Parts: sequence; structure tokens; C-alpha cells
Amino acid sequence: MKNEDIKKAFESLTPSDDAKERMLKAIMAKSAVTPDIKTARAKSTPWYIRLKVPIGVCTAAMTCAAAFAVTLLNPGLLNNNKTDNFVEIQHSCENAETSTNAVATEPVTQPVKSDLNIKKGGDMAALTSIPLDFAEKGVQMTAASTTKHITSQKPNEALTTTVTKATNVTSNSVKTTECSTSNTTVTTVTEQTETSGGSTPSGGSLYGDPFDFRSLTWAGINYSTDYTEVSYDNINGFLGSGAAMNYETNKVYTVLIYELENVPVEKGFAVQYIGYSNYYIFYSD
Amino acid sequence: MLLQGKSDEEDFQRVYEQHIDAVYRVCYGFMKNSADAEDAAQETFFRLLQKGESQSFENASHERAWLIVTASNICKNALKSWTKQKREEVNNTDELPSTYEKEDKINPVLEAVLALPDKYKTAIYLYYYEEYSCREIASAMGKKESSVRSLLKRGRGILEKKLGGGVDEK
Repeated sequence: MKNEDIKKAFESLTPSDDAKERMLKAIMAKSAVTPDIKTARAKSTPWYIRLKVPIGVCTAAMTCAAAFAVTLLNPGLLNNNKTDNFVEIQHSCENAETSTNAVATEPVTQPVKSDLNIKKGGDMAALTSIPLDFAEKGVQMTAASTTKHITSQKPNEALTTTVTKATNVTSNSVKTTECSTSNTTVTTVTEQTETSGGSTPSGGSLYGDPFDFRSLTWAGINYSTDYTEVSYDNINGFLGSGAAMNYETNKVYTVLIYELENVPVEKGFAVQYIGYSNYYIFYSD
Repeated sequence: MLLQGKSDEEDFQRVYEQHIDAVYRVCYGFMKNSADAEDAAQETFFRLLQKGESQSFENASHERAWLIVTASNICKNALKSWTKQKREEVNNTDELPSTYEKEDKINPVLEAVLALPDKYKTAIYLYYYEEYSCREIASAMGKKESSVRSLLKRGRGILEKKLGGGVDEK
């Protein structure tokens, strides 16, 4: 078989003249009634389909422009600083200013004067070493309790609370007021989350359990407690306020300091935690 | 109206006369009967009309190649369509009315070529009858030149088996 055989074979496949003419007429007739494809397609396609690409591009561009404009007008949106978590601290100076007498308003029975030997101890056994005359004279010493009784005593008028540090807070987000100072200046280091409530220190709910604050410094002398309670009958007078420390957490707890009957201040005194009614003996170290 | 003026009509007729035979042969090779081949050829030239000015050809060979490829595609689509598959061939034409033409007995070489698979048939036709080079066939069929050579080689092998003797290579 040669190439010419294949060629001849295909040459026989030729339409007749009639077939050619018939096909041409059919093509012409069909073209006469058929509109231009492009125009027909354009007319049949809805405008939102034809323009879907430009519409999509314009929509995306407008969205980006709107987002850019919003960020320009509100730069704080991108700012991670917690400026809105400002701290407003209202410390007890307000109360102090309004109160005329910082001493407890409830009637206070003058404590019985007695020779009270302050002894260090950590448990109830120390109570047995109390001189008999002290007990006879009605000194009530009760075991430490966790009574949470909100005292009606108002804090010392000279109580000062100064915020020295507030983390991640800008200057315009912290409100502080300063009062007249007293013998002791209480320095409170607070964190944002804890002071966001912003009110007069009320004790346990803010600072924790008072039994975690067992040390304080008063007039240069360090004192600590084993939470031995003492009755207010043994209280001789109000000395002032202080801050009991929790060295584990570096937090403080505001306390009121009272002189004990016949007990030198250098040896010890009674302390009342803000928000609690009980008095606890603090011994000098 | 696809033909806007007489000049367009004359141009089209010129193109038609120039390429109708080649297009018809390609269509007949796929459809294997004159009626379907004519329909396919008509559709091929109608597509050319629809393209109009958007389809520009570098020369007559380019135009011919475009028509051949378009005809091949139209025939393949027609063969795949359900109307073709559902149609039943009438083998016994003796009972048919005399107005119907009977197909003449075709050349055995042509019959063997037409019996080839489509890809071999197209390559064989373009190579031996249209005298296209392997590169031109590859461009028309959208294949690599090496693939076209392989198609030609295998097509020749099938024809040798059917017809006996060897098929000369160019």
C-alpha cells in the first residue's frame, strides 16, 4: 500500500455539486436568521452578570477604603493598651473628710486596766499564761475566729492611700486624691484588675484573707501576730492606722492600731483589720 | 444577520469553495455517512460565520487547519450526543422506498482508514492527503510532534494488518 492509495481513497470522499450547493444554501439561510452571537449573548445576560467582575472589584475596593478610614478616625482600635480599663480609686480620704471623729461611733467601753503581760505564742496555750488578775478583771480573750462583721468604725481621718503604681494604665485613666498625712503613710500597690472596682478599702474582699497579713511596721518597729484575739475591754486608746503586710504576695491590708491596757506600745498592741470587728494582738519582734 | 454585505457574502463563498472538500472528508471520516457528514460540514462553516471578524487567519493554511479542527470537534460532539447514540442504524435497505440513496461500496483502503480510531484517522488523513507536516498536524490537533509521529506509526501498523503490505512513510 502506498501513499497514493490513501490519497486516492480520500479523493473519492468528495461531495457532489448538488450537495455543495445544498449545504451552502443551508448555511446562508441559517446565518440570515441568526443574530450576532456577541450581541445576542450580551442581551440575554443580565447586567449584574455581565458586570460581576467590575462590581466585585469595586466592592472590595470600597470595603478596604472604609476599613482604612475607620482605622484612621479611631486609632485606638489598633492600640493594645488597656486605656479603657482605667482605674478610678476613691480612697478613704473622702470618708475621712466628711467624718468629724474617726473614732468608732459605737459606744466603746473603756477597757479594764490591768497588767496584761503580752506573751508571744501561737496558740490557745498562750492564753493560759495570762495573769490571773487580767482574767479576773474581765478581759475576754477568745480564740481567733473568722467573723466577718463590717465595723461601723470609720477610718482615721488621717488615713492616706497613695497609689504608687498601676500597671498598664495611662495617666489620664487613674484618679487619685491626696489627703492630709498622718503618722503613717500607707502605700498601696495595686494592680488594675484589683482596683477596677475603685472604692474605700473594705477588707477581705479586696485584699484577701486578713489572716494572710500578719506583719506590720509601726514607728520603725516590726510587729507580727499569731492572731490571738483580745477584747475591746482591754483597749486603751486608738493609736492610728497601719498596713499589715503579706510578704508572699507583697500586698497590704489596712489595719487600725489600738493601745493595750498597761502594755507598752514597743512591746505590742491590738490591731483591728478593716472590715472585721475582732482585735488581734501584734507582738514586737 | 451574520453577513453584513455582499462583499462579506462573496468572501465567505470563496472560503467555502476552497475548503468544503477537506471539511467534508474529515466529517465523513468521523460520521461514516454522507448525511451526517453534510450536517457537520454545514455546522463547521456556520461556526466560521459566527466567528466573523474576531477570527483572523494568517493565511489559507491556517484557515484550513482551523476548519479541520473545528470539524473534528463538531463530529466528536455529535458522536457523543444522545441523539446519535439512541439512533438505530438501518442495515436492510432493500425494504426502503427507492427515493433513498444507497451508499456505494467504498474503497477498501478508505474503509480501513475510516475504521481507524479517530485520532489515528485524523493524523493519517492530514499527513497523507492534506500533506501536512508532523509539526503542522501537532499544531492543528493540539498535540506534541512526537505524539503525532506515534499516532502515524500506530495508524500505519493497523492498516498494514488489515490491508497487508507496508505503508510508505514520507
